[in-house]
Amino acid sequence: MNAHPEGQLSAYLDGALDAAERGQVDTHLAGCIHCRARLADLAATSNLLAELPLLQPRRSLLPRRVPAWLLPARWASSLAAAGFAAVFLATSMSAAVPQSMPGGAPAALQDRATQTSAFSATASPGQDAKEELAGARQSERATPVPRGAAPPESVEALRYAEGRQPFPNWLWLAGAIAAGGVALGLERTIRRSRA
Amino acid sequence: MREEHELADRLARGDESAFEALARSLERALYSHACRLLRDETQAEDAVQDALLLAYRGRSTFRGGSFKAWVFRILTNRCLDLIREARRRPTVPLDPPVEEESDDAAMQWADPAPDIETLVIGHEMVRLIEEALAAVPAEQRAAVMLRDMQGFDYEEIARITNSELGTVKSRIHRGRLAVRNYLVARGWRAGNPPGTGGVKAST
Repeated sequence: MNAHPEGQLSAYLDGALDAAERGQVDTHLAGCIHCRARLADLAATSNLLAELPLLQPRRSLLPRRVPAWLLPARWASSLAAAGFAAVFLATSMSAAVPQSMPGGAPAALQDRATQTSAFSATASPGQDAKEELAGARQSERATPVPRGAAPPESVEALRYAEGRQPFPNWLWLAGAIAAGGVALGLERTIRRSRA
Repeated sequence: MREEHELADRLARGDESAFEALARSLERALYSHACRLLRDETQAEDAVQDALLLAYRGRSTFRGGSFKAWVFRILTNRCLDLIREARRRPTVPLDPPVEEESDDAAMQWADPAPDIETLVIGHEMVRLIEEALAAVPAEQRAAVMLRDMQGFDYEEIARITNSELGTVKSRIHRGRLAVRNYLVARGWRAGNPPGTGGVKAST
């Protein structure tokens, strides 16, 4: 008797043997109960696997298309944010520059860097600390941020700064933040649609 | 099947609306395949989403024929890549080795366990088969699933997995054998009366 063609049995079951091979296995099976049992096992296993249920994903996995208006809208809001920010910076710097203000230009350029330190330092306003931060505070006064007791000499600077601008400076910053927020939100929506 | 064929023809001729219908009809089959390959729901969702996105972006390269085979190829490759990647990382491997070509033991037929327990049918049987599948090496598991669960023929599977026909034959056989041995070791008998040897999927 030939060796058992066990390795061929799956292909035999699936009709993947050529005519000659199939004939050989047929002949062998006719006289081999061992291989017939093996074949039955394979067939039953195959059927069991076919019975496994279809699984359901928790969400849709189809690629979602991005609505046509999203991309230009994101572009426009990004530009607006950049534009507002630029105007805000420009008006901040020009407002801080005026000659009559002591420690004018350099202090204005350090505006951002010193602002936070000025805020935290004023929690305990010792006289020395006040004098040290006078330069920084002067530039702060250029943008009308509401503060505690305003030293008298900077009130004039405040009026001077406000007089130069027809439009409250902080509105540009607010606009930049708002437009930036819109752009970020749109970006996230686009990412979610694509990814 | 015919409907899929018509949709595939339309897609090959440039009708993009056919893509969504085709993708929708295959979504669950793709997800089931990925789940059982990757053994992780979240990874499976991501893999299917990636595959469908790749398919969508490359839809102009689909020239007709079986859209299902075309998409399953993208998905199976993605899943096997992920499995191989995970294996290279120095973490505890959750998956058995990818290939055991040189292992003769894989061709052995296990003898039945001496203590035969009566298996509970239905839910329990499904769980057992899933366990059995999980124990099969990834490439064999992919081949068996493509054959027994998706109904692809050997040539299609060879194209889907970029392998030779002989390799496909060997993997399907070893994979089925591995599942069979796992079940037999837990008391299953192929010759059981109807109702205990198989499970009608209700989902």
